Amino acid sequence: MEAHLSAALTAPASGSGIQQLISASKRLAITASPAAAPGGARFKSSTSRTKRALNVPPEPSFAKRQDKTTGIIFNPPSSSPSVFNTPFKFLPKCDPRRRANLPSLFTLSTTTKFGPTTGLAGPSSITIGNPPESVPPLYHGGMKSYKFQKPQPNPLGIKDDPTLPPAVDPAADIARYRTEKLAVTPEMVAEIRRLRVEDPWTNSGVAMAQRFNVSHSFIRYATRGIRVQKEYYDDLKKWKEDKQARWGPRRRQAREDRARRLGMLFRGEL
Amino acid sequence: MKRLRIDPRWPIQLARPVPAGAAPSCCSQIHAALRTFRPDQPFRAVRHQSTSALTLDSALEAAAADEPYDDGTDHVRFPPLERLPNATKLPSPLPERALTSAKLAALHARLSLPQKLPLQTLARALVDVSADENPLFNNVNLAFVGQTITHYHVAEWLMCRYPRLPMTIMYAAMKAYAGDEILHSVARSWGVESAAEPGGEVDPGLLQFSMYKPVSHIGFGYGRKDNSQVEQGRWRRGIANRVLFDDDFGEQIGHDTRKKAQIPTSSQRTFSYGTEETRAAAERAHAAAVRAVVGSVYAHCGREAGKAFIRAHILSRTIDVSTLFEFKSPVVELARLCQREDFEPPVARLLSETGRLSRTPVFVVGIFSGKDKLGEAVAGNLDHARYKAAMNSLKSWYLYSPGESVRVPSEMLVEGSKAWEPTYIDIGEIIHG
Repeated sequence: MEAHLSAALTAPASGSGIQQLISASKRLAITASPAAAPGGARFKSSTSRTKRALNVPPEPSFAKRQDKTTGIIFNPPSSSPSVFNTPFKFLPKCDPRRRANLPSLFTLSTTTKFGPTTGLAGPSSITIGNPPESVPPLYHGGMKSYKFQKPQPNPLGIKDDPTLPPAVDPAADIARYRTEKLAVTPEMVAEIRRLRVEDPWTNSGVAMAQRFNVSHSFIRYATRGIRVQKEYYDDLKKWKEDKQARWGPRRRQAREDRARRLGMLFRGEL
Repeated sequence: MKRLRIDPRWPIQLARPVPAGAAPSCCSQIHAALRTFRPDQPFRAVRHQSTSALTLDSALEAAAADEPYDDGTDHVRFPPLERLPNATKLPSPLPERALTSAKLAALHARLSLPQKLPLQTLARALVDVSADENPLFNNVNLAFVGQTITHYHVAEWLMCRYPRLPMTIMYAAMKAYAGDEILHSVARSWGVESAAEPGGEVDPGLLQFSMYKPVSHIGFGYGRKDNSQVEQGRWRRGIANRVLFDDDFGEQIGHDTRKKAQIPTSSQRTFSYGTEETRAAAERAHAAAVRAVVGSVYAHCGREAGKAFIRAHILSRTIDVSTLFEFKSPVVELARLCQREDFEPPVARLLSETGRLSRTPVFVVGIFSGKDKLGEAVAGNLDHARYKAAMNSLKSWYLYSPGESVRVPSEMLVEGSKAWEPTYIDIGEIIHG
């Protein structure tokens, strides 16, 4: 038993073992193309260069704090906050917690203060909708393609609060929150319905939303319950089937999985 | 063993009434008299040691008792084993047998039921309608009282505890507290055991129901004239409609949702007893027994004892209401909420992130309305994190609670209670297209 163990221990030290290791690493270095990893090649020509290249400095928020306060580092947080802790804004007027916590009306209601930080997460002085230059593009799945974030126009036209973190997709958020009333008349609705019945191919939902300067959802409400020509539905079905027929098994699988993940997310299973 | 020959005369003999000599003992004559209107089964009086079917076997004996009919059976060689007591003719045990049942006394003691609640009532609470159709001896009436009381207390407690719950979630939460599945597990946790087959001779401490007797499901609520119209989508069945009709869980009366459930494969079936129908029958019987016990506590000991019993056994269970939600478009719903309540527009903001260029990035996104954070979530995708954060914000809106020890209206029925302060009830759920 002991002899066997010692033989096993000494085996890697022999010349042949080292040679095998070196040749294996060379093979790996040759086969791994630089395009495979978005951050660059994982292998350099020598061990020391590889180690040096992989010696990444720690994330700045993990660095030792200059102010000697007892701060808790959460990056990422260990657990999500409970939904049973009602935000201050959601407390009804009669709730005693609101009366007992009056100063919160004038400050942030959350306990976390989002000050300017050095990391990516909280850069200061960002207008809504303009991601900073330093934020790298999103890696979007495939090996070669990157999805670059398009600079969004500032929908509010005001400068965002610099003490708050950057917005993710402000255009989408603002589009959902319409404060102005739509100038919709019964004639307009009748016109939308007439156009839809007349030529559903030309007067699609998106086209009419642009034409009448309303949201796509409003076109959906306005045209609810009307029947257009049967050929239109057949065309739609055929168009969808033709498109899906060109999918290969991997794309089909990926799309099905994506839809399934979204359903799981909305059910709170993810 | 010898097989019985089929004889054309048997059906006529089976339809005969009970012989007069089969009357029970003197003290139970009243109970027996109450049951005479029911077609009894004379062929269950005698058991033979035989592999032949019980009904045929004992029918032969009954036939032999009335008129001598020789089918060639050697009664000397195959004698009847025992003559069962007359109680076996009854579908459920007599009430006075409850006083001698150890199981029943143990159940009474285990549940710490008050002495005011007699053992006879507890025994009656364990007789399902599928065992005994006579409403004077089964637990239907007690279960109705129990269900009404239970649903009232669960509903008022949920409504005061979570005043903003949407109606669909309220229905689901009601079912999670007082539904058949839950009450079945409550009965099992009480140690209620069931008899293999109901009958007058079994121990009254056992739950008696028949898994094979087709009994129409007893649901309490307003039924519809024609369920098929709703199933075909011709009649609408929205939430307001469900409040008006249907039972307390928002489900159609007389419409079994299990029929639409997938039939389990043979591999799945090996891990569970019985079939879907027998399991459903067992579930219904156990739930009815729990409701009947609640009803008997209420009937014998009063309102406060009934409420305390419900609090101790039903409302004390932990149910995570936040897992009952399912959203379709949480971002839109949250925007509608902020519009309705005059909050600033909700904006998703990136609180923290790591590994943006890696295979497994982590994004922490918070939803802010003005400077107030409404909710936050972690996901591996910016869109998913945004949706999840919006869902969490909506959940924290819907799951607002004034506190754990919130007062409920039934507390005002107690003498000398404090003056009632109007409880907070939300104006309603968020409507979005």
